[in-house]
Amino acid sequence: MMKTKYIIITAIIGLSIMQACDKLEEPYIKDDIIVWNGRKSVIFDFTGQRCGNCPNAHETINGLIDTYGDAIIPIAIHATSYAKPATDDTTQAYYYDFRTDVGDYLGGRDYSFGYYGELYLPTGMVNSYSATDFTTPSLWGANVVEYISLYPEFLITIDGNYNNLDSTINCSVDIITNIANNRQLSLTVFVLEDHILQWQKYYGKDPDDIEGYEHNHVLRVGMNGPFGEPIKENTSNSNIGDIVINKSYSTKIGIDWIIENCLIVAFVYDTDTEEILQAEQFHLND
Amino acid sequence: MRKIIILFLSLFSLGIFSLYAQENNGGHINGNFQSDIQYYIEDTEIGAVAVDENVLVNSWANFAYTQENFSAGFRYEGYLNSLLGYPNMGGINDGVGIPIKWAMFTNDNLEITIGNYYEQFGNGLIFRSYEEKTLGVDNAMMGFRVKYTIASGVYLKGIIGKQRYYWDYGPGIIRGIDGEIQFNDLISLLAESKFRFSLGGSFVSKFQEEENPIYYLPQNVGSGAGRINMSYKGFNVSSEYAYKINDPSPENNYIYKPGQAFLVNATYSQKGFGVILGTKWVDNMLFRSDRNATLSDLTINLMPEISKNHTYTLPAFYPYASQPVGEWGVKANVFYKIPKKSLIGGKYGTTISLYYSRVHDIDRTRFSDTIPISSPGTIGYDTDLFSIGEDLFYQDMTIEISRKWNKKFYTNFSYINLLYNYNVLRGVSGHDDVYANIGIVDMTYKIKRGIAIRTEFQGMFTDQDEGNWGLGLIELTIPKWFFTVFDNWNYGNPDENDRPHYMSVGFGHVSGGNRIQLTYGKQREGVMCIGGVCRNVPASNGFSLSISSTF
Repeated sequence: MMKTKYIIITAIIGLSIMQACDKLEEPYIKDDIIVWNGRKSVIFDFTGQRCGNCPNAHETINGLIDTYGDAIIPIAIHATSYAKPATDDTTQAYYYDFRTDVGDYLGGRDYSFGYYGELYLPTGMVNSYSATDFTTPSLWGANVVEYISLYPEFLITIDGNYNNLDSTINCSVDIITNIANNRQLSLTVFVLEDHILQWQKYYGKDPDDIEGYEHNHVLRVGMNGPFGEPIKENTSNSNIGDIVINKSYSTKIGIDWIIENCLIVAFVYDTDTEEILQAEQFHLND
Repeated sequence: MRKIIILFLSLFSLGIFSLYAQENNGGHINGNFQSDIQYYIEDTEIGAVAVDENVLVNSWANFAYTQENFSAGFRYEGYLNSLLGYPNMGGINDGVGIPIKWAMFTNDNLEITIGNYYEQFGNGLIFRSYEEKTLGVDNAMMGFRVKYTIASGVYLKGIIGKQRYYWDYGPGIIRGIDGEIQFNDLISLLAESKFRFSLGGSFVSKFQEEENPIYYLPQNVGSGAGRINMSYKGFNVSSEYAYKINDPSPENNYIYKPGQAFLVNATYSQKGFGVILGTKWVDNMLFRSDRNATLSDLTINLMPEISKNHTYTLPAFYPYASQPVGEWGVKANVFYKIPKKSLIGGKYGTTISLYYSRVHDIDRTRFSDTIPISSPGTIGYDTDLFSIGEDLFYQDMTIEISRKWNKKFYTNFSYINLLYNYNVLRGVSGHDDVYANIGIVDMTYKIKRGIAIRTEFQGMFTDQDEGNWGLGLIELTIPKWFFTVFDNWNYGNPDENDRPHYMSVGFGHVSGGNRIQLTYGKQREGVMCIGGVCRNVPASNGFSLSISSTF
């Protein structure tokens, strides 16, 4: 009888010991898998309606949005001579004027250079205001990958609305620290518009003058200028949960803007390094 | 499968035969039956909907045959279709069948169960298989269970199986072992000692295939627990600690932090006086046999509740739902019976019960300055055992005074003060915490033997949620019959156009093992919780018929 007892006990305990636990150690994420941890990437896409290679950059951006979704915030800045309308006659191709004060300042108007000097479109930058970070669109994907799995240092909340009475877009922007830091910060707020159907030169098509091309993420106005405004000096630490700033902005809309297609984009950047640290967007039709 | 059905039909036939034959062969059969039938009427005022079937029915019946050291049984269940509010996403619970079937025999000190069984290790911190029909919860095991008494006072259990998932089984395999030593039974010298002492320990492991495209997930998740129980005269102290290794899942946002739970209960009682104290601390202890399951599906463990389960209607509007991802709670209950024939106690004595419970979140800090708390694919966060977070989930202060005034008149007065963190406990955002004061007067007058009339008056006063409520109830009981009328009125809803009455009338008949109840009335939308496990209760209007029987 005792023997039977021990056999049973041994069998039960042995069974339990065989049930090994799989205690895992880092890395917890499988090879070649990129996990988005909330850091959003701003892509400055310097473009022009008469730039025949620029739609390739638009396709690159569309592909990045397909892959990374909300992590991508493109800003199409129409600038340089490629953005210059070909005519004043609205019945003719390329009559529409996409140019903005911000685009003119940064990229140049017509044949005058802007802040960044001479630009060869398409070109742009990922998460940077620095001229040293201009790259061709083919490298934007690689640039995004560098940021995608990072955690955002700041969280941005935008609350916006359109006032029909005075035709203004109003918004308030909250910046909250997500990772403690001691940065000198600036905040930029732009208004963009999607789904603008206008002409576009596209060398990949035949004929290459495309009527009704869908222009997305088009910069309409800078609510606080091309470089925004400083919001914090580097003389004090910013701790987790601190509200860095709460700021309100307002701007008149253009006569041909379709408000349902407009969105507000806000981003903070390190004033010293010019690295864009986090961005957020708010669709006015939300 | 067919063989199993034939086996159980045979057992059932054997049972029927045995029923007629009474105990000619030493065996006997027993069972019970219950059917809840609801006819739904649309009522836009309270948000009640009609159903295509007009009538929905939940029914079940248990049958068990026992002969000497052998027993077997099965449970029929029918949801035609499931009553609204019960877990039934996509109609997964609808249907008829025999989901529970079991056989058990005992041989010397060994007990073997095959088929379905319910089991609990210790307080259930790492394993509790149970059913609660009121909630629609049934995580019965399907497999084998062995219980062995090694010596007097030394017990061992081993289990293996899969968990019931509606009409199927979950993908995970659960294996476990539990042992307990009761020293007063084991050591003859301690047999008569007033100091009683026991130790227990358990280990449970779950296996589920890893098929996640992003994260490396543990296929075998193990957990262990140790417990102690001591008592001396009127004192009793019990405690259990549990630990679970990394178990990332969608519910904990794929963090790899081990889970921990700690539970202490202490009681003292003597004639007319009792104290219950308890605390629990829980961190990341969600444990399911399918890591992708949600709600109350396929839970392996169950954290014992620390809050009071209110039975009166209005305080039950805001029940506490356990937070296995993290909570710290404390409770204290003191009751005292003022002696009878005293100035205050009156002729029959007066019982006073004071109850307090409070539940907080635990305190979590970042494990890295650059990684936010609970980021997926990380360890998640740091926390210290017994840490208390700032977020208050729930608080309950209750005073109950029960008094029998004379042979015919009995009263129970209650005052309840609740704080309810609506966002956390309902899983929503943007809602204010609810602060509620509730008063209840419950009076019973016995007209004569077997005939009594009971009234309830309840009032809930709050500036949040739906505002103030009032409830009045009258219940008449006569031999074998009872009749009930009540009205539940949201008279203080901030929206003056949304102050509905929830009236209900019903009667029932109780005879022997049979009980039949018919009710017509309206049911408020809300949440029902038992033991910290909850389900939504939809608004309804209509007739309900409940039939139960045991033999």
